Amino acid sequence: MNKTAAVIGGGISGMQAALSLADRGIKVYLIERSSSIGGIMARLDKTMPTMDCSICILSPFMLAVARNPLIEVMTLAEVVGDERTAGGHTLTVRTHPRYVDLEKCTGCRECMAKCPKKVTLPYEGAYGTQKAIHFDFDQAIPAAPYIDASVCLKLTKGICGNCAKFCDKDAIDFDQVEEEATLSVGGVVIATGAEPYLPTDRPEYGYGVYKNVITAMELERLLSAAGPTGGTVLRASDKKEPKRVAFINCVGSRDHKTGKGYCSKVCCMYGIKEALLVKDHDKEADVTIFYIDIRASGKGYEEFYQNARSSLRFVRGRPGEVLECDNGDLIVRYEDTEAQEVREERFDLVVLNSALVPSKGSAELARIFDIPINEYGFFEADNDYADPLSPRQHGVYIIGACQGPNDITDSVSQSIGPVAKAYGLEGDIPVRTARELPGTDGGAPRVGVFVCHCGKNIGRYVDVPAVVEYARTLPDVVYAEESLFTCSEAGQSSIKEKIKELGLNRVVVAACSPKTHENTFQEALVEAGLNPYMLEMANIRNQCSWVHSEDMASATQKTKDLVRMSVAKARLLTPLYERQVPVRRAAVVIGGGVAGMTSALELARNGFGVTLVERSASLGGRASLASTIEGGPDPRRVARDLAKRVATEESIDILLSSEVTAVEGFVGDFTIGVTTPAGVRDVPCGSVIIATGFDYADPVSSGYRPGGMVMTEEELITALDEKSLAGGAYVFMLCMGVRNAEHPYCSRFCCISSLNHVRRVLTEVPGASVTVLYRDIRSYGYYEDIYKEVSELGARFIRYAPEEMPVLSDDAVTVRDQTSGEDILVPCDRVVLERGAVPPTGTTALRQLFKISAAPSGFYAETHLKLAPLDTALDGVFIAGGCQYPKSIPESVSQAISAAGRAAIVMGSGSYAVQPISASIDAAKCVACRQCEELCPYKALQMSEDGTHMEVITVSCKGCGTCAAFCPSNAITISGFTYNQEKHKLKAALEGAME
Amino acid sequence: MSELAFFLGCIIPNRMPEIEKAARLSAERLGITLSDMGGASCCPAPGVMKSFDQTLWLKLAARNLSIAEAMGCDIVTLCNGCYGTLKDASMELREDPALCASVCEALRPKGYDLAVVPDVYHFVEYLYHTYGVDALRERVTTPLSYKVAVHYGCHLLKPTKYRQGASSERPTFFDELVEVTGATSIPYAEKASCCGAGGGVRSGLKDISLAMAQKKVDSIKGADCIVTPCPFCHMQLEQVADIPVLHYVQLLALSLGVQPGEMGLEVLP
Repeated sequence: MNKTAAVIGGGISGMQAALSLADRGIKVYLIERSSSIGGIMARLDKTMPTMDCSICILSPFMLAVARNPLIEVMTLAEVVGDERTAGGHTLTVRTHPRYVDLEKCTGCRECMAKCPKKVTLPYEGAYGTQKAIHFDFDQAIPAAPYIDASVCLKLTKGICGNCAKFCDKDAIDFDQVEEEATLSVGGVVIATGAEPYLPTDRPEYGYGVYKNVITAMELERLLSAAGPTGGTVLRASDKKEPKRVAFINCVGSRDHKTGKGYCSKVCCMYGIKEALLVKDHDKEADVTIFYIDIRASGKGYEEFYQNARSSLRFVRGRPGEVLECDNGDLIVRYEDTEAQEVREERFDLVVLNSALVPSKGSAELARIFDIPINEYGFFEADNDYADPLSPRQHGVYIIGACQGPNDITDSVSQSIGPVAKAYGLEGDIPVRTARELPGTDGGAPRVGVFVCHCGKNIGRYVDVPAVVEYARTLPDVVYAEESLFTCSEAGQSSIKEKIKELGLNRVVVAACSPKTHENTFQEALVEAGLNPYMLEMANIRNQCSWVHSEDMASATQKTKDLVRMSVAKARLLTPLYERQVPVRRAAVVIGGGVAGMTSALELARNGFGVTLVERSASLGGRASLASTIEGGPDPRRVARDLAKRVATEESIDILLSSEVTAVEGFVGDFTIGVTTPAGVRDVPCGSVIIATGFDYADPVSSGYRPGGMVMTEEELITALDEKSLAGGAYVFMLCMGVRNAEHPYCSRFCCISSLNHVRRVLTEVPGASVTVLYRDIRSYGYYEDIYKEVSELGARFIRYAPEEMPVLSDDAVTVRDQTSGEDILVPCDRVVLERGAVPPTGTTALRQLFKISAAPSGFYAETHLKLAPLDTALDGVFIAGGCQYPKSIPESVSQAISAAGRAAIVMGSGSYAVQPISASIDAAKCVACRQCEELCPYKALQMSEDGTHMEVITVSCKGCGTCAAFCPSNAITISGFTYNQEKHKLKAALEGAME
Repeated sequence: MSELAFFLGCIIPNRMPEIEKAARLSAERLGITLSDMGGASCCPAPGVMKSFDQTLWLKLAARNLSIAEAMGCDIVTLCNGCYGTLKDASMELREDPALCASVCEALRPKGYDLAVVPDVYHFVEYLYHTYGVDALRERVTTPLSYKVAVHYGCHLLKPTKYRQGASSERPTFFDELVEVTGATSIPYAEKASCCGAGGGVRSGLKDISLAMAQKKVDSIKGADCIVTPCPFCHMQLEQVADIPVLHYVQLLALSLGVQPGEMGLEVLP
């Protein structure tokens, strides 16, 4: 296959796909319709539930895409034709003119200052205007503005041309025209995402009629420091800060009237996030969320929701109408179904949590590639159990929200899949060469200091010009400057230019956290010929402007202190170098369920040897016991088919009735000790995928015990299959063993499987009636269709509260119905306990073997919930499926394919680059007390062969410094954080205190 | 022009003959022939009868429809309630041929049949979608200058699956018809609210019913009159309003040059 790929859509999914494909040596054309990559995520203020600044965690991705030599970013471009060829596809790509020459433009913004024509950006409505020549957002990539041809005076009327007159670089080019090009690619990844619905066909809420009714996306822009109001929430009618804010859920979703019957999946959670942010901006604000069910069904979501309940008001009821008062205030008319009251309430601002709908042009794209779309207009996979990434066309993959509303985690979980699916055995796998890092320290220190405004994030709370002025007075500082966003391409260009122009050999960036941005600035140093470790960052945003936002003088003083400390350390920095270690082309997959088997097969197809370890005596896992969801394939058959394929695949070694009992080594060279019935076997491998699934929760923690007329869902399925059930009254009880004190999380799949069990009882058992006792029905996404179907089949739903758990007697259940407030006696013949999920037994032991941590729920912790959901703290070890967090079979399969992709990236290059910040031990000082060995979270320390001192396994060492801090004989040094460097940094801090 | 079977219902002939008169005089001036339906019964009432016995409701409605069919006419009515019943029944009968057959079977011994289900129009709907706003405008001889609070009523808009026009929320077609007469439709907060009379509320819970009407009327500021398309809403709003309530055909008749005295409007306060 042609070793090139086209990725259509430059949002988080498309970028992630492009980066992972490039990591396997595949040339990628990233085709984006707008002027910048970044997608919806670039426009968000924060991401939930971690409350990371969205653009801050995204921009390193955007820069990595822009820098990657194998990725060609094509903006203002769209695919207009596709021809299938023997080797893949020939695409016709139409590129619209930017009227700005990307080669020449430096992103200085002088043109924008001089442009007389104003435009309004999407989602910024009444609040902000931009010029006809503008960036869609500050951190846009490419970092050049573009001209909106529909309003530009030059392009519409032939007058003005100010931008061209004032551009020093002669970068404005009005002669650019639309161009069409053909690209020959092996595979196509469609990642066109979704877009927020404009709720004009819900006129009762007055969107577009009342000024102070806005969508959540518009609020997101108001909350954002980079938004039109600089992060202040103002209502449009009078530019006042709202004190009473209402959020209305399910606008344009769960709504058959407007043809959007699906649940939009993300709105409950982004609504809670935005509500908390409103509260964060104004502690006095009263914030109310109107909801039907709160669908907090993702990792950490339920806990986030429960925490939010203390500061937000949740009202269960879908408002019928919003009315406007003369002063712009709004009256919301609603029924509080828990209080059984119809009420009217006045608010200053009403926010509509509107659904995600298919991106414009989806139908056209579906036509071009001949891929199916579902009744809601999203792209559809052919078989989302076997291959959730593929519509029927070979060589075309669909990932992220173009398949249906998806949060960032789920999108990213899918996005690495194409790298495993698309290129398999074909083509060469490139051997990654050790990166030649630039060398010398360049003699006497010449320090450059770059202070970032971070839009208004820092600039509003810290006197940045004063800090710059101060930095110039510090020893060895030869240059200091400020910039709006140092992380933007313009900001980095300036760093590179000044390094070259002034011969800087050490750089201090005073901005945000090195955790998110160090790599970005290091790359800038490399591009300018400096060793990347000649960089020191001062985190003035988190440590000064955020925490001292009330007191500008102190915040500024502390900023000066941090800059002085960083300069003191920077003067002592020395170059550090990466090391390459060889990697074994074999993997161990732990867990023989659908996820583990899928990962194993994908790795085998990519040419890697696999050892599949399964604790039980047979493959199949939980799917062997699951029930078919209406319209989907039989999961038991899916599991059987996978098991058959795994068994016949020569490169997969299956170890049944076996458990992992020892882990040695590090990425590229692990030795996994597996205890099999035939004894312990040591399996060498380069990478590990953990896919150990989940166990069912014990319903006793919710107060119920199976027995008599009470059965578990597993017993129900068996009885349904044996056709041994009699008619009568069935009561289903949801959330058994979860969402309680012991397991405070939601286990996501059980509402959906429960509804499916209800459907089976109603359609397969003659004379059966069903009552479902629930707390929230969390049938997210298209699963809402099953909820509707089951309701129409006659199932009765009664909502109970956790404070008033239903009471079982011999032949009835008594439940306090939340919508009537009355106790209802439900006579019944059978009670079915629908159990949630818990981490499987042995999780803690396995975690300790690998030294990877657990999320509060007990499931494995990933490196980053949003952007690295498959990675663990231990390089080369990945997680997939239910062990990461309970999920559906299609979701597990998506993750399993992506985890195989991640493992293939690690192993495929043949070698692995080890970051150079690590511990080293002075053998002469070490007394071999071995305390560091116990402390090390990464198993990176071992006794020397002669037993006289400790040694560092450099590949495993993360440079965390725990050992160095503890070592009683001061024998351990961390490169980049030497005793001398840190001593001078501290000394600089104390100098300030003495001034 | 066209001939329509004129379904009067109960309230207009029994309590508000002035509306019938206004309708007949307007129709004459517009070139619409309204033919009486001999033997027509109660529609029957959508809220009350349908709630108790759906089959009986459907049969009685079908009987009325069959009278129009025998006349070879489509039906027009001046009442939202009659419109609700006849329109919904006609749609249910069309959508379910088996149901229609069983209803006809019950009707045939009484001498009624329903081979073709006639179209059912509210007079307002007929004017807007069939007659046309522009054609109507040409007939206006005496443009009015009233400020009007427009009330749509429920059955004119819902259920939306059986109604022309996309949305039952923030509709504008009736406002447009009101403004054709030269009047101005003014906004008011409770415009979309129920009059409080329907669904048996007026009979069963009079206090609540009147409170709903009062709330609606109280939110009207600066109007000269209220205009409705429904005699039932009309009666209800008159109970609490301190400005005149007109049926649309009365407003229309005035704009077509009919004198108030010709249609009994002078007796109104």
